[in-house]
This record gives sequence, C-alpha cells and structure tokens, in this order.
Amino acid sequence: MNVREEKLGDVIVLEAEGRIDSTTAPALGETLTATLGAGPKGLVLDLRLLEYISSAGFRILLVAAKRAEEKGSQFVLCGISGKVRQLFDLGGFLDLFTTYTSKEEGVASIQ
Amino acid sequence: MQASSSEWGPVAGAPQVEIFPLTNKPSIVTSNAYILRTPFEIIIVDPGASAQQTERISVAVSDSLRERPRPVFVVLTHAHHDHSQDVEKIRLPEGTIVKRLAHDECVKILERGDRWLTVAYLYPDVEVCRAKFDLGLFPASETMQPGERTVDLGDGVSCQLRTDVLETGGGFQVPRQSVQLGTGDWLEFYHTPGHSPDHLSIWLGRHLIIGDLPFAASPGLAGLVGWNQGDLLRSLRDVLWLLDTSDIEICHPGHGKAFAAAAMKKVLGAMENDARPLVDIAVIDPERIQALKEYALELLEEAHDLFTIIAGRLMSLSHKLTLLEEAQYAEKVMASLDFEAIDRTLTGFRAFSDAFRSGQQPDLSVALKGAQVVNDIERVFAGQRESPFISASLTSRAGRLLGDFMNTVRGLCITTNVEPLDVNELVEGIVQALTATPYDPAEIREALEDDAAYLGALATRLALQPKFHRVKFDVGPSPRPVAVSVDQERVCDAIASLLESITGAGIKHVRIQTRVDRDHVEVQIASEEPLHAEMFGARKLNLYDRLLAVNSGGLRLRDDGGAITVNLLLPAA
Repeated sequence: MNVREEKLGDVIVLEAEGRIDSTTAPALGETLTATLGAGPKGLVLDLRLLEYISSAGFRILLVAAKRAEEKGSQFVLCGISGKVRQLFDLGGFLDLFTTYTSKEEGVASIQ
Repeated sequence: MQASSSEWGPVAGAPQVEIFPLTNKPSIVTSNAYILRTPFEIIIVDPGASAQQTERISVAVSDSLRERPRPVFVVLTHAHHDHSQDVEKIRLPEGTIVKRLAHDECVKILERGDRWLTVAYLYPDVEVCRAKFDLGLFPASETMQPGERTVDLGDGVSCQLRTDVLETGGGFQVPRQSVQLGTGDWLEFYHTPGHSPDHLSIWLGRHLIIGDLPFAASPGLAGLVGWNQGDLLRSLRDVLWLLDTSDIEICHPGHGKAFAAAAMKKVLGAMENDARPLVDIAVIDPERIQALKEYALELLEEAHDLFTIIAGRLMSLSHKLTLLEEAQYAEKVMASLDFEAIDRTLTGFRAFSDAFRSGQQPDLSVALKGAQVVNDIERVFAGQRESPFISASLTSRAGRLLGDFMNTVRGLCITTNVEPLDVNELVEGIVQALTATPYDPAEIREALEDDAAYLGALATRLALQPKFHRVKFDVGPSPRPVAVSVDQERVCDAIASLLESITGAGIKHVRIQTRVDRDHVEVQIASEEPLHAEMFGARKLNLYDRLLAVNSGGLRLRDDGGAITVNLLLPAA
C-alpha cells in the first residue's frame, strides 16, 4: 500500500492506494497517528485509489477518528466507491465517519 | 413401523419365566407387545395393531405351543386401539385355550365397542376390537377386600387371584391384584389411570410393564378422551414409589425401547412436572385433531422460512467476516449453530408430511410429529437465544411461534398479552422497530483498544444491519386515533413475516394504512408494485390468520380490481 501526503493550508490530505489489510494497516495506523499528533485542523483520507479494506483497516480508521476527536482535529474520508464502498456498506461503516465524494469537497468542508 | 429383532430372554427375579419383547419405533399406529412364557402358560401383553407384529406373535407363541401345549393368556394394559386391535387376530394352533384379562373398565369399553375410549376415533376406518374377556380386574362393583380366591375362567382353566392394598410411606394406599402363574410367581397388576381410565401396570420378577404411563403428559396425547390429570399425577406418584421401594430393574413401555428403572424414574419425574400445569386442557377430539394437523403443517413451513433467514444471516455474517480477513472468527460463528441438525429436523418433517399425504398415518400423528420436531429445534436452538449475532426480534419471534404451537398441542391456551393501543401508534412503532438499527452504534468505538471486544462489536454490526433498510415505507395518513385490543408482539410477528415475503419478492416500496371497518380495525399492507398471493403462500396466510384469531383478529387478502392488499383485522378495544 502506498500513502501520499499533501498539505492544503491547514488541512493534510493522505491518499491511500492499494490494500489496507492486516499487513499494511499497522503502518497506515502509525502514519495517521503521527499526522494527527501534529495537531492539524483537519485530515482528509482519500480512498479513491483504494482496492480493499479489511477489519484491521476499519479499526485503524476508527482509532484515527477517535484520536482526531481528542485532538480537536477533523478527520474525513473521501473517494469511497466501487468495491470499497460495498465493504463499508457491509457493516454500516459509512455511518461512523464523515465522508465526501471528492478530496476537494473534503478539504472544503474543513476550511 | 420398525420392529426390533427380538428373542426370548430371561426374566430376572422369576427364573422359570422368559420374555419376548416386540418393540417398535414410537408411533400411535401400534404398541409394543410382550410375550411371557413359563412351562405352564404363555401370556401375551398388548398384541398391538400391526399385521406384521401379530404375525410375529403368532409364530413365536405357536412355536412354543408346539413344543409344549399350554393355555395362552392375553392381557391388555389398556383398551386403546393401538394396543388392542389385534387381540382376536393372533393365529394359534387349533385347540389352544385362550383366556383374556384386563381392567374391568377395559373389558366394558371393548364390549361396547367404544370408539372414544379406545381412541379408535383417531384412526380412519378402523374396527374397534370387541373381543370378550374372561376376567376384569379392579371391578368397580366390588369392594377390593384383601384376600385370595380361585377364579374359574372356563374350559378347565382357573387362576389364583390375590387382592391386597399396599401402604406407601406417604400414607397413600395402592390397591393391587395379582394372578399366580404355574411357576408360583405372581403377576402383579396396579391400576395406573390417567392416560386412560383402565390403564394397568404389570410387575413380574424385576420387570415392570408400564404401558403408556411414560407418555401420558406428552403434547398431543394429554387430552385424549379418557385422559385425566388428577389420576395421572396419582399414578405417577404410585409408580415412582414402587420403583423407589422395589427391586424392579427394567421397565417395558408401551412404545419404544425398554428403560432401566433409574432412567424410568427420571422420565416419570419429568412427566410429573409436565403434567402439573395441564389443568382443564382441551380434549383431543376429531375437530381439534384436524385443526392441529393444519396448524402443524403451517407452523413447520413458517419455521422453515424463519430458520432459513436465521441461517442465512449467520452465513452472510460469516461471509462478511471472511471478506474482512476474519476467517477464523467466521468459522467460530458458523460453528455456533448446528444448521445441519435444524435442516435435518425440518427435512425429516417434510418427508413425514409427504408420507402422511399418502394416507399411511392417522391425522394426530402429524401434530405429534410436529411437536417432536419443535422439541428438537428448541434443543438445537436453545443456546442461540442469547446470540449477539441473531437479532432478538427473530429469536423471540421463533420462540413465540414454537411456544404457541406447543401450548396448543398440549391443549393449553396460547398466552397473549393483550392491551388497548392506538392502531396508528402501533403500526408506526412496528415499522420503526423493523427498520431500526438493532445494535448500539457507538459500541465499536468503545471497543477499539481490545482485540476480542473489537471483533465482537464488528461481528454484531455486520450481523445486525437493519433488514428492511432498502425498503421505503409509507405509513398513514392516519385517521383519528383508534384503539385496538391486541398483543403487540404477535401483530408485529405477523407484519414482520408478511413484509419479509413482500420484500423478499423484490418489492421496495410498501404502503401501510389503517382503516376502520364496521367490526374491525384494518391494517392494510399494499404497494405500488403488484402484490401476489403467491408471494406469501397459503400456509403462511393461514398461520397468521390462526394466530391473530386467538385475539379475535384475522388476516385476509383483498383483491381490489387486480391490486392485492393484505389486511390484518384487529379487534377494536
């Protein structure tokens, strides 16, 4: 899995590409923790290029959402579509996150 | 009917007596038969009602008589048709002297060809056995004075008859009549009514032939004409006392295999508990048998649907967990319910009801089989009631469905919790309950620090997604508040089941309206898309009509110019 970071004003955008599974989730978890540790106004996780997410993946996203809340940062997801959307639908996970269709909308919602 | 392979064996405690048990898989078609043989006489207990069994009795007894001629005694534990039908059909060598003994009431029942007390009314087109008996035990017209006398049975055959009364430790008296065998052993008879008024239990050596006492409180048998709860409880008390205080080792029931005395005590103890609540139960008459049969067929079909949904949910959960890389947990989920056992049980009932349609079984056997299937499902399903992965609304609906049937078969009333409610609030509440998220949405966030807790919360979430979340419901517009007198849970069960059928057929938009009729308040389920009667199946509609009728309601399909609506009729409060 590849993660690309982009800074748009006070908002950090992380673009995840590939699979978030039990092998890759810990590394992404560390990246999210480190990013949120710097106390940005918001963090947008762009999942447009994501192919798969496992239960471990949902867990690190939930942990990140919780950490963001504690830090007073906003944590939003965007670009959820296709098969990944179906995986979110399985357990009603979309209800647990703030989601936007595109990165631009996500960033705009924070700024 | 399956007969076991039997052979002569010793009777412990009576060295010169042998026993030849002919046992069958339990059914109401025929009873077991037992043949006792001494050098001086042969005793056939309960010939039964199967040509195959009667032939085996004829062969076994005739072979013995050819070795050594001696009188034959036919003894009945009671007059029920499945025990008595073939009394006169046993073929024996010419010149064999046959004498018949039973309870005096049994003798009279058979003499008058009583279709009720022989329960011949359960079986289509059978002739009641009208055999003449030579000795009636425990005659009501005679005081049971303790003593011993010789009874002339005719044809040069006499027997020594002893009457006495046993005092039990609890201060009860148990009358006993005993007939002496040629060996000097006493064949002891105890009047054990309850299952029927003429029921006897027979003790010889360390063997007790106990007739149908072990099944007397069974659903579908309790309530037969002649059944009596008070008598049954007294008989159970007496026989339990006998088993406690005697050297009886083995008990031979009227149906099925023999029990060790200790196991029989457990069976009778459980029977006592089952019999106690059976106060003023409905009599099992032909009308009720017909209704029970229909009910059993409807119920098992609905149970099949319901357990298919439950199994489907768990399979879907397992699939979702596997998709999310939790295959190990998925296996655990699948192992938590014995799908195969439930499927086997329901498939077995289907095979049985198919065989029933070919006319081989009396109507009551469908209800009895239904009760047995429900018991089996209850046993498999018992551990699942608290499962976090099956919605409580499904498990409690299954529980009510099975429980209502068992209460009905037992002859008890279905217990409902009727209360006055505004029909509009009722319908809105039901739709809200059916579309609500049945888990705590915040639970998974609280469980992130702990692996097991997270997995549990994840699985619950995956398992309990609202089942009607893709369906649009239009409720109302509501007329003025209208009070109905209903059991909310049962109305909800009916609506949930109907909606499952509708949405299962692909309908995505459901309209529910209430309407006040002259006699009833109607809850009308309709859709823009066409509804068909076939979506539900006649048995489902009949089942919920039956269950709503318990509280003076009903279910009707109405065809308004091609557009079908489903109407629940609820009684106004």
